[in-house]
Amino acid sequence: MRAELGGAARDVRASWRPRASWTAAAFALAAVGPLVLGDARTADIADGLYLACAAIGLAFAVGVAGLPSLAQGAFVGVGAVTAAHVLAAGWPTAAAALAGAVAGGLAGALVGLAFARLPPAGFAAATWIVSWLVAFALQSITWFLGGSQGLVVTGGPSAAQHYALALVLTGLAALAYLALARSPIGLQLAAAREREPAALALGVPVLRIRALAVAASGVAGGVAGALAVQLAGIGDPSQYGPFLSFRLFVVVLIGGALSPLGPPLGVLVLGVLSLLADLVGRLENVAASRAHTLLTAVMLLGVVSLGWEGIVRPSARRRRDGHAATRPAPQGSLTATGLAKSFETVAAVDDVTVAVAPGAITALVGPNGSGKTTVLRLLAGTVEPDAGRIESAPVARTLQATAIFPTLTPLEHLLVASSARRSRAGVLRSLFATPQTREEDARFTGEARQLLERFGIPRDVPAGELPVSDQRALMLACAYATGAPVLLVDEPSAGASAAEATRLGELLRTLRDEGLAVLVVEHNLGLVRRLADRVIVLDAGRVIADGPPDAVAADERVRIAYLGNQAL
Amino acid sequence: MAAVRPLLPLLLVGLVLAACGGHATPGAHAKLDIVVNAPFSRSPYLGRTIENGARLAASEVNATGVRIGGTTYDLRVRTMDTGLSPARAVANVRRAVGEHAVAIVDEGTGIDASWRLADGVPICVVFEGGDQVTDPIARPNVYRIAPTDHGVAFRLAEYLIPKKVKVALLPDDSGYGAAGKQALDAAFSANRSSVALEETLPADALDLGPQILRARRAHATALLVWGRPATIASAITAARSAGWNVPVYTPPTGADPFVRQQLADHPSWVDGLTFAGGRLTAEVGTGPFRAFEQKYETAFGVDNVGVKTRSGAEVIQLPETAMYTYDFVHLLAAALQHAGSTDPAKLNAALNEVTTEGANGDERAFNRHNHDGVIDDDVYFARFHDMTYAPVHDDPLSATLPALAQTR
Repeated sequence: MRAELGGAARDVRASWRPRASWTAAAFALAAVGPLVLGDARTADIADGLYLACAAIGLAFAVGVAGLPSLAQGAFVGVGAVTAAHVLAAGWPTAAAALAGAVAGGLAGALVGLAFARLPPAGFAAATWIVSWLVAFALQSITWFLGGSQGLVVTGGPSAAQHYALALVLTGLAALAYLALARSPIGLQLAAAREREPAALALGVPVLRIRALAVAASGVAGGVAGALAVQLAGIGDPSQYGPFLSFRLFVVVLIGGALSPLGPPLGVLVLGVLSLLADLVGRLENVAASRAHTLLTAVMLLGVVSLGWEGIVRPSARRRRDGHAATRPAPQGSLTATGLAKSFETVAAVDDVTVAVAPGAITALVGPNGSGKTTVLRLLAGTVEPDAGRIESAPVARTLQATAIFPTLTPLEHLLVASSARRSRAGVLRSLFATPQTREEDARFTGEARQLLERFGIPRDVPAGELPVSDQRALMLACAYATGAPVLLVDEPSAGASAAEATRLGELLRTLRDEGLAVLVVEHNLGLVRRLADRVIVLDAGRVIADGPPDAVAADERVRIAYLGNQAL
Repeated sequence: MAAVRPLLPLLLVGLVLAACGGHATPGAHAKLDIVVNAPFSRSPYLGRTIENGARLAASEVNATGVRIGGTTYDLRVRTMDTGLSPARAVANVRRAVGEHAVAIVDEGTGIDASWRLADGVPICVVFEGGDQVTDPIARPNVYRIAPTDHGVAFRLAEYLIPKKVKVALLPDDSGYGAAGKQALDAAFSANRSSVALEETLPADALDLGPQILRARRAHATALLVWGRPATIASAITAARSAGWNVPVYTPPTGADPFVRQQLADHPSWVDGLTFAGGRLTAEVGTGPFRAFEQKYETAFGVDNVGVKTRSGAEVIQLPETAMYTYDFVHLLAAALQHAGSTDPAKLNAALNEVTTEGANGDERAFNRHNHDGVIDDDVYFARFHDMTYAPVHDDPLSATLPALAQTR
């Protein structure tokens, strides 16, 4: 136990930054607030802190997962309704907060599962509609919150106690954001945010983790709503309308969605500007509520049109290295027989048989439109065959284009790729950073570092800033890091210079020599000749030759259909 | 800049003198804050009239000040906007109490929660008439000077049932409408055969055609619309534009300027609209109310409704709600003097003891058993004609009341 705590303390020390010191100091300063503020101001600030907590949850969905959710106000409302009824049934504050968190989380999960497959604009529109629906329901069905007169919520902590609770809750929400964003789930979400097809190719369960992200934001919104309704003393349906969602979204955009410090700062900025709006509103005889709406809308317009990325930018991420155990090279093969696939009336693949043996590179070549990529997709399982059978060990596939995640470092790429092999990286373990999780994290980080050294790729620069050859090597490294014994590599040298093609060839040979089964779709026939142990030639969806490179090159049908004057 | 520099010492001296002057004005009194918590942004007329009543009374009280323990205080009126949101109303009360307000004049939104957070500071409701608003035992710091829903609903039932009409009860889904529905259900419970239909209207809906058509098909011969002014205007529009000249009855909101403003293009649609409200004049005649109205107009000008009579005269709004606020602030000043303290417990005790003469010449007072300043028997009926209203003649109380001039 002592050693574990020591380990945790070492980890905290290692990742400590001046920003963390400033944050801790601000937190300590804020803790004495109720001593100098009156009851009403304390309650106002506690309410702002609950808003910040809900905004941190939203920032996780927006910043980490890339989901522009406009339903956070609805989750806050769901938490408030649940808590109001739990309290009315005589349960204590803690039970109401827990119930609010669960209800908010469930609402988030439902919204996530229903809409996370949509593109960002569609997701924003769908969640905006959810916000309206919840607002209509709360206002129309008086059972929820008493209709327009509200539902009285009695008892609960004092304003000063709420303040302390809200401060702690906001701190915990920020820590949870950090823990989840750094966890394999957070990295997977970031990968899916940056390039969904590439993330899917690495086995990232995109829909599931996105639903999880929205559920997490729902939990934060729900618990904030549950406690805020007790602080207010009344559940008021008009408080949970789309404007709350809109306001939370603006708070996140102003403060910054990629750091948990952003939303509290966004709340602070909006609070100060609201005071100014009150002043201007009084001078111009505009009601405060209208002045706030106007101000929020203007700020959103400014943030969007100026491309503002928030007050707080994410800090560089450090990870503790551990000793990577030597991982035996995975062994496995792939055999597909009689594969067929038609798209409407066109037979893209017809009776294709492919065998990829361990410790060998098999090249799949053929003219454009011969069905190579379709075969690859069938073998990867992203397209269902009309006929045929596939027997395979797990496969990893690289995409034709350079499909990296631009803001993630190469190290993070490999951690995304290897996350499916991890056993102690669930949400709860990540949140609480259990010793086993930290040990596993260090081990996988060490393994990724070693792999990057082997592939000659720098580890800590954003992958978008790497030269193209490094990006292609990174794609191969990611495929390797998945631990799949069969690699499906789609045109690794497309657009590469001769030197780059040579480097990629070397890397593929290294992987083969480790015992991996490699299938390469490639147009660079010189590379195929140097690399492949076996060549399969496709033409019009059918296999016209299959054998060693020399034998295939001598095949008359191949010469007529594909090679022409070229030499294999 | 060089030209400005010689003026700087003068500016400085001026600032210092101005700062000193703020504290040294002879006769300046310490302040006691009264907060007006009303929907200024959503119901501007209502908010303004509540505020004006409080300001008028405060200015009268401040002529001599309130003497408490050797110190003379002035009453200062501050406003907070509820936007008709219960949560904002409650937060305002919390803030008012935090800023040491001596009392709160409240429209009534959110009162079920806000009175608990008031730490005993007196709250006087001057609009909402719900049954549970006042309860001297459970809510010792809540008072009301406004007709109660119970009183209005029972007086309407008492007025309509003998006429053998079939009433369509049409409350809206606002908080005001919901409280009214409760009161109407109780008032008509013994005579359900008088009710042709009961349907809740969506508040603020622009077109109530379907609901009014259902009332017509239910063979209603009168509509009783209990809702916010916008609902009443929409209901009348729906009925009249369908050619249905059914009599329409309402609670006090029927007299809100908004109803007439909405129907300004069709003055004849307003004719016959009958509302129930607290009587503006007492047995002593119209003199006291006229005097109050004069003072109100001198201080704030007339409240123009924004419509004209057929002869082209400008129609003004009588300051009814302002009268309630005015009366409470005078009662409060008397209670402060009586208690000799701003301590809420002592102030509440004093509010149960003191009596003042109200703006209409009636006595205003609360006691330990009753915190309602307008009794149910004071509810009268008035009917519109040519954009102004006058008490009806077919109700015993109303028939004794004089009509008040509403044109300038």
